[in-house]
Formats: sequence, C-alpha cells, structure tokens
Amino acid sequence: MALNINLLRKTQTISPALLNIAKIVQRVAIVLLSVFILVTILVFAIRIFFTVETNQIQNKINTATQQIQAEKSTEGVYLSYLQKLSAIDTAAKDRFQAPDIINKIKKALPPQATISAVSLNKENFLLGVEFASLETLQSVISGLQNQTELPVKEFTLQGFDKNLKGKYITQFQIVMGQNKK
Amino acid sequence: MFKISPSFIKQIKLFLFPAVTIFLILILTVRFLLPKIEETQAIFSKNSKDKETLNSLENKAKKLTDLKNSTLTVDFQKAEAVLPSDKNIPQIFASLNQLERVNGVQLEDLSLKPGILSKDTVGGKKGGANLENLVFSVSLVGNETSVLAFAENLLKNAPLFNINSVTLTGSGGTFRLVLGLTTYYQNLPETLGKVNSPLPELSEPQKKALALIQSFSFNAIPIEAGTSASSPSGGLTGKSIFDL
Repeated sequence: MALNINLLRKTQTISPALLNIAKIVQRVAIVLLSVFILVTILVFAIRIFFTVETNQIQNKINTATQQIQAEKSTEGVYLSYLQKLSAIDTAAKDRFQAPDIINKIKKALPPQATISAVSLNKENFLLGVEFASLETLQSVISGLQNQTELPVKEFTLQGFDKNLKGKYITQFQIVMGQNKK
Repeated sequence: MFKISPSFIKQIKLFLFPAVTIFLILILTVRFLLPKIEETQAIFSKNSKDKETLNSLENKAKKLTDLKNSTLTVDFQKAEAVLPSDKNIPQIFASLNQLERVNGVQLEDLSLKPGILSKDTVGGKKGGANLENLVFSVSLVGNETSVLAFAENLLKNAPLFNINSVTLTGSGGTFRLVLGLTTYYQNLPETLGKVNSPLPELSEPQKKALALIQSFSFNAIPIEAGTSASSPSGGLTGKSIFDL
C-alpha cells in the first residue's frame, strides 16, 4: 500500500478522525481480500474433488450398465417368469374343486346308497342316488341335508323312480351359494 | 480558477486504494465466485443422483448374477409348462394321455377347437400380457374310483386345467365322466423396459402361484435340469430362486 498513515499524520494535513476511518477501511479491505482468496481456493479445490468423483461414478455406471446388458437374457427370463406367475394366479383364482365336492357328497350318503349320476358346475348340481330299500331314502335325505362341508343354499328332491333292476333312484338338485342352509 | 487543495488530494489517496479493492472484491464475488459456487453445488447434486443410480444399477447387476446361478431356467420351464406361451395342443393331449395311463381310465372323446395357431397372432394380440383361454371337453370311462381320481389329478397336473362342469353317469362297475375344461396360455413380453429399471420382487399373488406350481406334477412334460439362463450347456448349483 502506498499510503503511510503515520507519515500523513506527521504532516498534520488530515484530521485524526479521518485517519482513523481510513485505517478501518484499510483493514476491512485486507480482511475481505483474504477471505475472498481463501474462499476461491476452497471452492476450486472442492470443485476439482467433485469432478474427479463424477468421473469415477460415471465409470462405475458404465461398468454396471455393461454387466446388466450382458445379462439381458437372464432379465428376460426373470420378467417373463414373473408375468407367468401373475397370470397363473389369475387363472387359478376360485378354482372349481369339482372332485372334492363329489367326494364330500359321497361321504354324506349312507353306505347303502350309491351315486348313479352327477352333473355339476359352480352354481348348482343334479345328483342321482340309487339305493335298494325305501328305508335308506330318509338316511340319504338327512345325510345330504346335514352335509356341513359345502355351502348348500337350496336342496330339492326332484324325482323319485324305480329302475329296471328294482332299485330306487332319486334325483336331487343342490344349489350352491354363500349362505349355508 | 478552481484550485484543488493538497490536503483534499491526500484525503482521496487515503481512501482510494481500499475502496477500489473492496469494489473489485464485490464485483469478482458477484460475477465470478458466486456462479462457481452454484456450479459446484450443481455438480454435487448431480453426483448424489448419480450415486443413487449407480447403487440401483449395481444391485440389479448383482441380482441378475445371482439369478443366472440359480434355478431360474428350470423354474421358468415349470411355469411355462403350467401356462404355455401359445396354444400347445400336443401338450394338452400328452397330459391327458398321461393321466389316462396313470389312473386306469379310457379316454373316449376329446372335443377341441383350437382356432388360430399362428404364434404371431394368437388371440389377436402380439406379445401382449393378456391371458387367453381354450375351452374344450373330454369324455372318459372307468370305474367310479378311477374316473374321480382322474378328475382330482387333472387339477394337479400341468398344464393348468380348470373344470367348468362335470357329468358323471353310470352304475355297477362302469362310469362315464364328461368334463368341461378350460386351459390357458399367454404370450411372452416383447420388451424388457429400461436398463436402469429395477428388478421387481415377487408379489403376494406371484408367491401364491409359485406355491401352486410346486404342488403340480410335470410327468408329461420334460423339464431340463442343470441349465443356466444364458447358457444351456452350463451347470447350475442348487441355490433356489425361492430363496432370493
């Protein structure tokens, strides 16, 4: 700095108050300059660090991308597999377990009675039962009425006949539903 | 004439240099330093986002490597056997014939109208995710136990069959069973999505389907064991996809 405040003070051409203000301003300028230089150096150092980090991250991203592209077939198989699983779940929803229903009906019948015909779908079915004596009929009806393992909504005796073998054949209609009878 | 006093000149000199310094510092800060700080912040934000992307890509690459060394190919073949990618009529016949032999029944009739068989236009949709179905009926004879066993085993055999209706008639030793059936197929996807899309985990419905497949029998369908997803001749060691 070209200024020499002390020299100027000695010449006594400037007032002491003004000289003090000048001193303060000079100090502020020095501090600001120092801070500016330090901050600039710091910002550039951080920037260089981040730039190096950017390059490293980009290299790793490229490597990972290449690895993924090399395993494209595996990814294809996996995604196809997941799609198939979802479709299988959709297709198998509320599967009609017809054999299970027939077996439960069979269990409800007394041993003297046999199933002669069954025609069923999800909502209802027709059941033909054959037996030799009329005493068995009541057992058949009570067995079907008390069948607790299936949601039977309606239960109707549709027909009663005697076949050529001398056996009785009854036909029941059973309507399935949510409410148990 | 206007005359500048020497003391005034000395006062100016007193403040000139610090004032100019402060002014230059302010200008440089606003025009140079602040933009550099903003750029540095932008680089930092971009790096943070890139780190997340990198993390996601590395996880995906690792998962794909694990899948490659797992039983994915065999599991996929089983899923494909349960739900084929096209109308696989021979597979339906093979499965029913296998059940006929195993359960000691005799197939009398198979009523099937397959429709269009071209892979490209199956169901009118190309590479779609829609589930298509094939409805048909089959008639068989045997004793009461064997025909019911056929129907029970049908539900546990690949491909997936759903029973729509059952008609059972007969007496004495011989029964006739007519089954109304539906089987399904679904085209494979055509695109995989972006490289950085994460690999999805199994959802609950998918886990249920997995459990169902595990209960199935694949007697009529050859499943190749010991193959990797990308190299049919490669050998697999036994880590199951179910453990992933």
